[in-house]
Amino acid sequence: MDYIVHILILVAIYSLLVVSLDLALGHTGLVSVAHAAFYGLGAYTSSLLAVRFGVTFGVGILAGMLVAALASFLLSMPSLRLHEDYFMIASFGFQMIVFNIFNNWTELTHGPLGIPGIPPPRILGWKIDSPLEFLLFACFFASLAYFLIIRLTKSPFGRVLHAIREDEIFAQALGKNTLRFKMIAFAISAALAALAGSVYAYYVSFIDPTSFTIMESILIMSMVIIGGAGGPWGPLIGAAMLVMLPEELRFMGFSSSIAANLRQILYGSLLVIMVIFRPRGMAGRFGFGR
Amino acid sequence: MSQVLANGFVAGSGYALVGLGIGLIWSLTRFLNFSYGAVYITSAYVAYALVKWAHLPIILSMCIAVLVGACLGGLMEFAVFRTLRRAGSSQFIMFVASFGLLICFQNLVSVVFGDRPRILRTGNVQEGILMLSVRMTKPQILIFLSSVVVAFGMWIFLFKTKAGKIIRATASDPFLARVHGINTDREILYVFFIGSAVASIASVLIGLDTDLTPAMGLNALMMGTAAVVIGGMGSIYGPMLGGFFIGFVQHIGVWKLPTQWRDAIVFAVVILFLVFRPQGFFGKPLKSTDI
Repeated sequence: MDYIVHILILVAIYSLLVVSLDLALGHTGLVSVAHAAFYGLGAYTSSLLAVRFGVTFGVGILAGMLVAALASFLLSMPSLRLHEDYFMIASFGFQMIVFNIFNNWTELTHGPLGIPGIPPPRILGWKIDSPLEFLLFACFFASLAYFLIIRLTKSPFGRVLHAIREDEIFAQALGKNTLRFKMIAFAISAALAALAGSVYAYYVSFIDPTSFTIMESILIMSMVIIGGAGGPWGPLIGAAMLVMLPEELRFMGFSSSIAANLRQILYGSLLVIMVIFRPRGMAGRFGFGR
Repeated sequence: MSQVLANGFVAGSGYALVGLGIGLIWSLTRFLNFSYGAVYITSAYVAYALVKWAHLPIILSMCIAVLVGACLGGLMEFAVFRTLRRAGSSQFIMFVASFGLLICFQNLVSVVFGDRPRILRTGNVQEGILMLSVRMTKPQILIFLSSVVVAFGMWIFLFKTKAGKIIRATASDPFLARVHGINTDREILYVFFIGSAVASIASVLIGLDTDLTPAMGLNALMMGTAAVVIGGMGSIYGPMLGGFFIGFVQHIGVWKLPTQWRDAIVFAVVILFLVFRPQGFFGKPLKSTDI
């Protein structure tokens, strides 16, 4: 039972990551491979604040979101002006640099050893530490983000984002400051990724840099693509599929190291097969064809 | 100090070699092709298997590995990227597919050979040869020489032969090339063969100098891409110079900073380039709005 709850918590955290990436990738058309960096920034900020200064989780989460949003401006301000290929390469570099900071700045982050002993969150004396309570906690934030994104993309702001996605010059011709819209969308996406990072850190109570590699970014991106971008159901389907499918491998009697490899092979081949046969994903509103 | 420069020089020639192949494929397909890393790992491990398991002589194994790598690259283009291109997929989808391929091959290699480092060279490590007060091992000299030879060969091929002219035409405007009766799909296939062969040459030579690990593909790819971005696309000397530049920057940086910041230094430089000179040293800028 605990195992099923654990899987559901992971699905909730990943769907939070996927909807947030979908805002940038699906709705605005910004190809960023730095999502795991923002996820990690949130996780590290809130857990360092909790472990070193005993800050409560609400403040930790907000601080993590703020740090990620500010960091996203650092990336987006110079590079979103450029051609989209360059933005992707810049996000790639950003991801590598942030990972290196997690991994090498040992005075702050303990490097590869990670940060152990992150205390469970408390709300008004209610300590959240059983798996079921955590499921509620994770689902609360995931649905919060979910409705925020739905409201946002249906608002005039969201319509401008869609216009940028379809034809940026046209949006500019309508007098929209597209750079500003893109930067704001990217910052919201980064902040929500950081929120997912904080939830993850509080849940597992131990974080290390291996959870925030470029492979993680690609995994999240695969969830967006396989689930389908832009639609309401795509992110949920993508997250659920890619979290649950490889879990089957656990029961097939492979050793854990080979199972990890097989899981990656499954992701990789699923990705190739999906983009060939169903480029819109399972329930996508937008294709990526151009 | 001169040893630091020499190390940067050797690393740089490796990056330049990797970058040459990446730049060639990139100039035609216009997407960041991660499957290049898959070719890179596979050919190194094929060479390893031939040397250690089939007991073939090392030179022969390396040649076979390069051939296998070239064919693998061609096969990927034929089976995956051509299909996607015909379906009208965007560059982003191609990038995603190429990353899927890299993940598959990296993990296949890791299942077959394990994650611990493997050593391709036979016999003991030889002491480096002393030249001009710096030490370089034979494989290192070989890497430098082959990067020069490959660059020169590619220059002759692309700029002095008709086949090269057709490839350059395809790179500069695929649509116009098709209008002139060029079979662009075939040219892209050729380029995948050549580029993958360059990747394989780089990987077996660099594999001789260092260890083989399944993660080496992604690492080489990052450095090669950095070389292309810094040097600029669409020329031979661009990736060459970019490769040497990051080799030097990396080793001079590590001389002052702890070694683990090597990769971060390179990417900081890449981002600086993207901000201030996105086209690299020699490239033509991509416009932010192509109409």
